[in-house]
Amino acid sequence: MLAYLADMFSHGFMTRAFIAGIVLGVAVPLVGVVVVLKRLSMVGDALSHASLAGVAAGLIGGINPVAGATVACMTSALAIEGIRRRFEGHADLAIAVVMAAGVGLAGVLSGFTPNSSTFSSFLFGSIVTVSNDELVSVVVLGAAVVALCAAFRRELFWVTIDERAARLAGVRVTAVNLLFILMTAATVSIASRTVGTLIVSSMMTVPVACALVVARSWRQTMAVSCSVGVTSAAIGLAMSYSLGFKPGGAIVLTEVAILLALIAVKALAKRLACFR
Amino acid sequence: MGGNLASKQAGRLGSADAIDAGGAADAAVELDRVAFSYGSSPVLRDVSLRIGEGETCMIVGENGAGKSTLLGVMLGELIPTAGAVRLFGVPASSFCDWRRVGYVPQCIAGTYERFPATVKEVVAANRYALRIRFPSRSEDDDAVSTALASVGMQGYSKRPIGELSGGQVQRVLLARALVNHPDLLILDEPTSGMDADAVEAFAGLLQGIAKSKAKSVVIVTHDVRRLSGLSARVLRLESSMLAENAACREPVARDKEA
Repeated sequence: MLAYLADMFSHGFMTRAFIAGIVLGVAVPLVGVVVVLKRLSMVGDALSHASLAGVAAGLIGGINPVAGATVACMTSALAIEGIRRRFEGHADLAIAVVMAAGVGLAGVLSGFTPNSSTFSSFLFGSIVTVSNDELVSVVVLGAAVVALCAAFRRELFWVTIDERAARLAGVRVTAVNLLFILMTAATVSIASRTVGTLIVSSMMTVPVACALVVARSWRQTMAVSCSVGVTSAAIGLAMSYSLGFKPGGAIVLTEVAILLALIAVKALAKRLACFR
Repeated sequence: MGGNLASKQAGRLGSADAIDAGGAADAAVELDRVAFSYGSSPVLRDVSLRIGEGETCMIVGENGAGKSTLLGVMLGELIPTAGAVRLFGVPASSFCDWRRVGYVPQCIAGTYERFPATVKEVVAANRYALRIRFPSRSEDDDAVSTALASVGMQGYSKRPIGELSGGQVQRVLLARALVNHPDLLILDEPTSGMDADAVEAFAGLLQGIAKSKAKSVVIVTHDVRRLSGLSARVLRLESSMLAENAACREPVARDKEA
């Protein structure tokens, strides 16, 4: 086992992949807890599709595609928040509209990208080809997300559970929502490059689904989500190294396997409790 | 039935009378000739109201009568098209001392179902209103325990809120509103989703809080019968106007019996 680990980490690309995977394993579910509990689970999908349009625009314009993805994500995030406020009680409509625009734009622009293989690499990501510069951006993003979630933990809890009551407790709801949606956009745009636009929203929601099966408090939900995120990233990358799986897919399938296992264990525990 | 009788007996006082009915004490809530409309549809017309210190006031009206709009205006969420709204003498739109206000939202079925938070986390959240950057955990714990004890929910602090019944959730939300010892308590449809026993217990609890802690209490409800045991001044919102019950200081129950 030790020899296997030593062999795996003897490759610089695997060390960088593990660091990126673990940082994203913490940061993405941390954002995901608020996304899921605010019933905006599809927001990751909408933003990641919009980021794809940004990637295409970046490739066409000859600028860094990650920068294009970030701008597209931020713009889409602001659009979602704006539409959500205009159609109060229909947050799903805001997400659907932005997702439709993102998919449409990505589809049209993809026909003009000079290098279709680069564009395709954003669909499933390439965590094992993360460069040093990309690793720095992932680590900085992860640290920023963790720091913001810690600093604004009380505000985020409030806006998740009840926005009106939050305002009446003195929370600046609009500002917190804006900060949060921009934080989500930044997370999605960076994570899209490493794990892929088609997978990032799963990384945002499946660990939270795992936490909802077992957690009995907000703190536990955060802790379990991050633990599942980190564990899945480590197992998925190890499987990718040993079996040659695509890393993004392996990570998400590990998360789904953990979810199914937790559901089965909980159901079994319930049955056993009935027999006692 | 009680509600109908009560409304039949309700004296339709003018807005000036309504504003005076609260007495001369400092007003927790004050609405002065307030009007509000959505586009060209008026929802509130010439509404005046003064809720004094220690006063319990129930605002009743049918669904769609404008109660939610009135509450939104009262809390500074909606800007009236005419008139003035003040909370503790401060214009509602610029009011920021939310420590003085406790709010109990309408508990819509399913809102807290599967929400992963303990009772303690939900109640402690309102300590935010104290604006303490680095709050003391022991002080927060003590405040939460006291608030939960005041609503008869001691021993539930570690339970997930999603495992509680509708009545218990409402008690927890009341504890959350009380945790900072507010001067004004606002309850939005507090008995929705509760069975008769839970409503009776909740009404008794409210009565005790209003009496013992000398708080101003505003209850917005569509069904006055459910809180008929509560001694409160009753205002009816109808045709965009606010009318006052003649027996404003008597329990609603007595109106029903009379």
